[in-house]
Amino acid sequence: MKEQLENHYKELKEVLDVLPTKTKNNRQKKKDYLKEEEQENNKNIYMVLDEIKRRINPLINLEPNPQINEMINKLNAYYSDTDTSVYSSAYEKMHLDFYLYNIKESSKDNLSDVNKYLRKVIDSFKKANLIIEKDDFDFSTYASDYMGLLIGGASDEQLKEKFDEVYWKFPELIKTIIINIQSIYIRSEKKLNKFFEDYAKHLDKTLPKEEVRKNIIEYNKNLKKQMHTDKWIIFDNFKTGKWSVNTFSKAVIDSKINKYFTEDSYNFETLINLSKILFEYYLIIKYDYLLKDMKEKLSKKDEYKDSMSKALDEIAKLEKTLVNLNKANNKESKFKLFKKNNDEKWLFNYNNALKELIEKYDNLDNERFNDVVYRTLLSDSSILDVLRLISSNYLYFVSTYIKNKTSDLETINKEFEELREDINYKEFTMINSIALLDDKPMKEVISSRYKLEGINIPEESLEENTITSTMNDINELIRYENIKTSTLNLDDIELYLEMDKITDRK
Amino acid sequence: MSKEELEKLDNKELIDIYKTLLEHKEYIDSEMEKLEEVKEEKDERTTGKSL
Repeated sequence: MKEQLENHYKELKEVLDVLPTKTKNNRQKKKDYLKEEEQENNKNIYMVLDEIKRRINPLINLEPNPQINEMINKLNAYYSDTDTSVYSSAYEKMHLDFYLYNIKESSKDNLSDVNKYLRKVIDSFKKANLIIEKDDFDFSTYASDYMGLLIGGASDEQLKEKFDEVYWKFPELIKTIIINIQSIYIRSEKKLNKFFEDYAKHLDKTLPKEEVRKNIIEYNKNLKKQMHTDKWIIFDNFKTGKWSVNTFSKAVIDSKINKYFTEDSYNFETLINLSKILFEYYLIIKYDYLLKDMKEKLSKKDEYKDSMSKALDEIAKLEKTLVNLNKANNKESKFKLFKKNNDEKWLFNYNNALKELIEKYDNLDNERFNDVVYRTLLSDSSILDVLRLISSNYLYFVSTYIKNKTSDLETINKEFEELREDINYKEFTMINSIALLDDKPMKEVISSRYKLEGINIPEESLEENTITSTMNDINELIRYENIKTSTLNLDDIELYLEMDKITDRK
Repeated sequence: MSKEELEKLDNKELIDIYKTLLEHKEYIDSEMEKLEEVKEEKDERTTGKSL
């Protein structure tokens, strides 16, 4: 058909080239001739467009599956509502670890972020049925004044005024507020832990069976299965440029199959299992720095037996001293701290006690984590147990992360979220069976295991710089199979995208 | 060109035809423009003379 058209165009051009245009009459004749051609050409364009539309209409008419959205919403609500991890205390469940660390970091350059996180802290105590008041901040009058304003609903501007007024008199304001919050938590820890235990029990009783936490992995698996073969989602991946049709051309797919599989060993189930194992091994590589550190901790976990209670005893003594010093000063002068001559001695004692208490609280975060390690891990705890423990302990993650990598706080927070996503609510078959302290040559184990099934996963494809590409290959084969299952036609998708390009250019 | 003939084409051939038709449309438009230009030139010359 194209040849016919081209021949026609050639003839037309030959005729047009010799048509005279000198007189008005000649030009009108040529114009009429062109108009006739234009009409014919437009008719053909519309006819072709109709045929194209007929083919891509099923794609244009695709709509998101409301059932999938509903499932995603349910799952998200469940994630945020049910932090029932055995590895976290109320401290982590209330996100105090996250908020307090972010207050500390923001206090270097962003007072409004400090206030934002302080409000979150007050809110999270409130959610756990504990109302914090101004007088709970008993380490310093300045701290109680500042927090009194914040709790009373003062704006960032009003708080900045207060901060500027206090800062030169008491530069340790924010640090003191932080340790005071930690102290409030310790004083109410039993009550708060009980609140979360009751909450978890309540959830298990009231939610429908399929949504109970123990079934959440299955629920997630079903959701993913539906999503991976959903026509709208697949098409959207192509439309938004996330996937390319060329990736799924026969030649590319065949070369990937031949790289890893024999004709007999290639099937969908094997692809899925292989993809899971590769992902699990990828986690071992990705979180190697955390696992190495945890190996050390786990091998000396008995040393952590009483360290938390010792640290808490020391803190209690220091807190008593600090609260008494603060009270004594308040009795003498409610508004001015350093008025009298003997205040110098008082100030010296107060600052020393405060400094020591801040150090003890800094160390308490570490001891709190060591205590969890002591209480929850065993010498044969699996890699998954350890990663789950870390995913429930933000402060340990951050401190180990910054010892090994350089990033800003936003990136670190994002990476922590990624760890939580990587570890929680997924089904594992390898890292839940291998003990962290068991030094197996993992690359060799995986490669040999698949060789037995006629699958070629050489050790070189499992290196730090090759594992992602191996995973991508296998995941693309899975996507290809899912596209086939969805009955979407890749040729029609290509036609749609090509039309999109032409329309964009016009 | 007929509907039946088009239905027999595969997607690649179809888009190819579409592109060819669009190119031809551009050709027709440019020929029309050329004709208009010739007309304008002549008009200018006529107007110049009368001035």
